[in-house]
Amino acid sequence: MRWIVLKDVQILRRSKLLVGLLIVYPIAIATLMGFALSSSPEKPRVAYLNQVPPNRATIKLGEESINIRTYTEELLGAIQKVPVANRDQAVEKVKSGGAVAALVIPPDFATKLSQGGFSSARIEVIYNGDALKLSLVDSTITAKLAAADAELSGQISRLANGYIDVLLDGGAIDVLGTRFPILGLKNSTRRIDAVLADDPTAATKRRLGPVSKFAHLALANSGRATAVLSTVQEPVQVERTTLSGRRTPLDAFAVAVAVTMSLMFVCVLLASGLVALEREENTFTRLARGLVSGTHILVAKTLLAAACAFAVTFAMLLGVSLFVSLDLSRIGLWLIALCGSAIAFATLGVAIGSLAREVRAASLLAFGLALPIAFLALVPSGGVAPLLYDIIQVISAVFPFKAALEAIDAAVNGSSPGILQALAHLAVLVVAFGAAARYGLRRFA
Amino acid sequence: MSVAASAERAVASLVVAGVTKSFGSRRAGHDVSFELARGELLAIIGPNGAGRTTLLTMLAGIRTPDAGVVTQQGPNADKRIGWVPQQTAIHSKLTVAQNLRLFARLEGVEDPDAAVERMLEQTGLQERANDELSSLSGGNRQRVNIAVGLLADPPVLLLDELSGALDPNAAALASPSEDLEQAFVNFLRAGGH
Repeated sequence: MRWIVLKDVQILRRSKLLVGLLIVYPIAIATLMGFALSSSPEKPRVAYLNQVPPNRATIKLGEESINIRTYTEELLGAIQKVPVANRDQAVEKVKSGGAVAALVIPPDFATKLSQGGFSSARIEVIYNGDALKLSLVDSTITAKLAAADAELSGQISRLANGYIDVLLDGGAIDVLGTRFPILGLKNSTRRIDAVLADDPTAATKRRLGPVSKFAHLALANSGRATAVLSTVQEPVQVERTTLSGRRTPLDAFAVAVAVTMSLMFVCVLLASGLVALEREENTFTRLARGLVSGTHILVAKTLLAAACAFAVTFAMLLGVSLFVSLDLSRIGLWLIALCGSAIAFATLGVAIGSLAREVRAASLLAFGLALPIAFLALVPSGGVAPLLYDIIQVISAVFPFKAALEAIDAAVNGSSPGILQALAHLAVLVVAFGAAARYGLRRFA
Repeated sequence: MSVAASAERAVASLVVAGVTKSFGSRRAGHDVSFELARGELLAIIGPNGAGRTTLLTMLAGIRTPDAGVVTQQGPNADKRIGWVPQQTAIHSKLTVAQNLRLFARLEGVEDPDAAVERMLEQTGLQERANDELSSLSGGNRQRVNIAVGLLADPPVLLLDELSGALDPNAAALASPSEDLEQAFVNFLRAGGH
């Protein structure tokens, strides 16, 4: 068997383009992924026009004042601001492509906000660009508008809560620069109760009794007003519960997906190609005369393809770890997961190779089979109809991509299910595809 | 399909008895029997699709017959039968020497390097030893193909369409292939193909 491995290594060494790709590929992918995951998303260029006069940028609500910069800063944080002098310039910028959108805050924005509340205060957004950029800008601005609205409504809720406290406990309210003393509901109730105690006649009770009853009832339920206000500020609160295992951050999961994908392609293409090459060059018949058993040929191809893919993806993981924070203390688990996954993918590769008559057909078959399997394995639960999802689950379980992804994700990120379950799944697939490949070799002779 | 043999010695090296092979309803060989003695030349002839290659692959041990047996006899009965397939069965990405060395090792030749040197000399390809097979002409590739079959000095050599890509005038292989080729050329001249 070692002579077969040596022969295949010699063939690989002579395929300079293939070896070059095997070396360049992990470096290129690791670098690209690293930059993609470690750099912030590009901010869209948006023309910005704030027409609110500086002396009217503050909303006065009683004693409190809110500067609308709180609102606009929230929006500006998500865009690359292109200042313009007027609305025409803003439109021109968008038309000429100097900006993908324009954000115009009208002069009466602060006034309408203080007088009519949120619904009457408006800002104008002018869009341009292709559908993808438009969608990106639209979703960015919409999300930031929602965040700014929430921030503003929070401030107004706090103000309103202050007024309710004054109405309950007493104090003073500033209206147009004049301070008005407020007795407060609690003090009013105490005074009514005192009058009723000093003059407990039937007439007084008849006249003040209902007032006292209302005052006590209002005091008893005063807490609801603040609760309602806080509900308006944040109507729905999201409570996140993870049912099992550790959640993997998206960038760390992306690393696992990229590594698994690379491992799959290198393994499957190399293994299928090496097996199909024996048939294409008619050498299998020569070997099958008892020089080497079919099983030994398959094992040799599997090990060589797995070793090459293992080296490539391990280098890739190390490269990515320069950009993305990966737990290097788990490197032993990386090696185990990569090794198990590589052998499983390589066994799938030799099974594909045993079906094909030539290398090109094997490569095409490997691509055609591997890509859909990878995509299917990434379909999330709830993304499709339940029955379809069950079918996808079965298909994913029959091929090694999902189990390999679980093993690598568990090794790199400590996600669930654990690495042992995934490796056991891969071991079963190795046996099944190994048997399929052995059966396929019979057709070679 | 018919079998023509020229017996030179009486001791059988290869005994084929009642070999039969079918692929579904298509019969590729039925009850083929003959004996081959050491030094004997045997030509298997027949029209296209008669089952000549199938018979040879059964003799070489690549295919298993549906019925019948193939037995090696004599002092070298433990050695593997030599096999030169119709289409070149060598690795085009390896050099001539690498191909010969690989098969010498797989055949279990005691001194693979010496066997490689011997075959390079016999095929006249010493100067092309380090050339990749893909850079060789069809005729030279066929020489290497034949040389691989001769590497282990087999007691019986099976040649499937030997002259496929060879230049008859330039064939300079040493014994025993020189004799075999000459016998084959003579056979073709006799119009028996």
